[in-house]
Amino acid sequence: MNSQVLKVGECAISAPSDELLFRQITPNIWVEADGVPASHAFGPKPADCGMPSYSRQSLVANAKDCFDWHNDNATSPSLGVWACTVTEVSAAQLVAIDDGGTVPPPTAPGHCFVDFRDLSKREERNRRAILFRYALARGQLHP
Amino acid sequence: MSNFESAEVENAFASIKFTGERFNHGKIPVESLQELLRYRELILAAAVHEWEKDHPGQQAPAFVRELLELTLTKVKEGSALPVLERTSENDFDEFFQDGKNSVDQLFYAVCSGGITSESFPHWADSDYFWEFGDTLQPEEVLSIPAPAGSAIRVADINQVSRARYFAPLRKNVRVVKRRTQSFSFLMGKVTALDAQNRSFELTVSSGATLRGFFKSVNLTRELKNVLGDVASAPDIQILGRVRFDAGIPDRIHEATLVTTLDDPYTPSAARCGRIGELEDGWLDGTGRAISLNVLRLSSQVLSSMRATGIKPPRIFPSEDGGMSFEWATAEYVLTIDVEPTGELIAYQLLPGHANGDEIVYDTPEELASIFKTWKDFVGE
Repeated sequence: MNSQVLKVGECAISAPSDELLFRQITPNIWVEADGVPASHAFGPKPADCGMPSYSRQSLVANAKDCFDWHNDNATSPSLGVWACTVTEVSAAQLVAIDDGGTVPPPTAPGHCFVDFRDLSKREERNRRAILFRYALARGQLHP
Repeated sequence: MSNFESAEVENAFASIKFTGERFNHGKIPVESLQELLRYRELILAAAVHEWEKDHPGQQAPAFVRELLELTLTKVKEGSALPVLERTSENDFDEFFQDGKNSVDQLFYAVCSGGITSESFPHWADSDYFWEFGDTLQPEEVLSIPAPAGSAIRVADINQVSRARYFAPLRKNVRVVKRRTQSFSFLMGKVTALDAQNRSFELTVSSGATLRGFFKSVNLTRELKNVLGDVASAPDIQILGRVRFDAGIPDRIHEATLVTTLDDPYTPSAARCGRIGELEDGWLDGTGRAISLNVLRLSSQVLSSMRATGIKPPRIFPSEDGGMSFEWATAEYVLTIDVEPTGELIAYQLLPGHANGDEIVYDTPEELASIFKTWKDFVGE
């Protein structure tokens, strides 16, 4: 587990729970013909700086609302919503951080990120694959 | 610095020389002033190119144009020798100087027949270059200083050199520009095979026949298996590096994978071809295009896995210009990453394991053993 210092307004979601963290899958090239995404989609993109965005179930109504908000506001449309729980993120030796109060608007409701900062490429590959396997067990939540 | 052996123009930023009766006594007909404007535009284009070479991935700021203020300070007598001076100095000076040198060098190379259409710089492919000197009348000459160390001191442009060098070069540059190449897939029938020279012919649905080449010895057998005449040969798909002329495929530079249409790997090869068409910035403005080397290796990886009979994987580009082959379920995640460096990384998160592990391979052939192991999980 890495040990980044939290910024003002950020809060580690450290207590294990079954709360889902929704992940929007973009771009479409990362979704194969059978609808299953790439494991890459669960880790950070270069622009994320090690902080891929997720959304907290406890702060949004459901996967559909989360999906609709994303497609109304983000530049890359989502093809589907997948998710891991807070406990599963911990099992992957990662930490989810609620930063909803620090992201400039328009802020996705319940915005948080899973902290991949300072991981080697090898560690990143392993941890996103672990998240991916949990998400596959749950299946696509929307649409 | 000039090559016109004149102290007065020695320190000028640029000077080009007009020779001919109309230019005697330091006169320049108004229509010939266009040549100075063209010369300035070429320097600007070359300077922008130099700046962008020094700043990969960035576009030169729009205000660069305003920074290249050239003033005609003097026209020397004899033949007209306009002296062009910079009116101010700024952070782009070195790029303007390099740009000016590139322009002079290009005129010298063209006028000495020392440049091919393939090596012609894209920044100069404009009317400013191709029409340079078209205001000249017979017997008139426009001289550009040759680069230091050249066999001659100036490159002379006149109606003869324009007809001899500029016109044919322009025609050939257009042909080269029309031609593009990409990693792609084509459907057709293999109607000829020359195993010794590793070449073949592919007849496509339009009836056109394309010449193709290959490097891998294994492909000889695969091509031989599907060889026939147009009526009897099976329809196949070829993945590889394809040359297009005005958007129409006209040559297969290197075939890397051949599949029949009923082969379960045919969609995988087509997917590789589509991923090969991604351009820089495909991932929200980042994401690198996949290099030909990664695509070539990827087809070899596909070929290696197909030989073991393992079920075809899902295929994805990676943000750094690599390619991933993946089999994943709620039980396992198995991935082959073809890295931009050419490294092959096999990652496996096996059923019941909390963590995965990875092995680095040097060649696609070495992956055969892991594919055989993974086949137990993945199936055929």
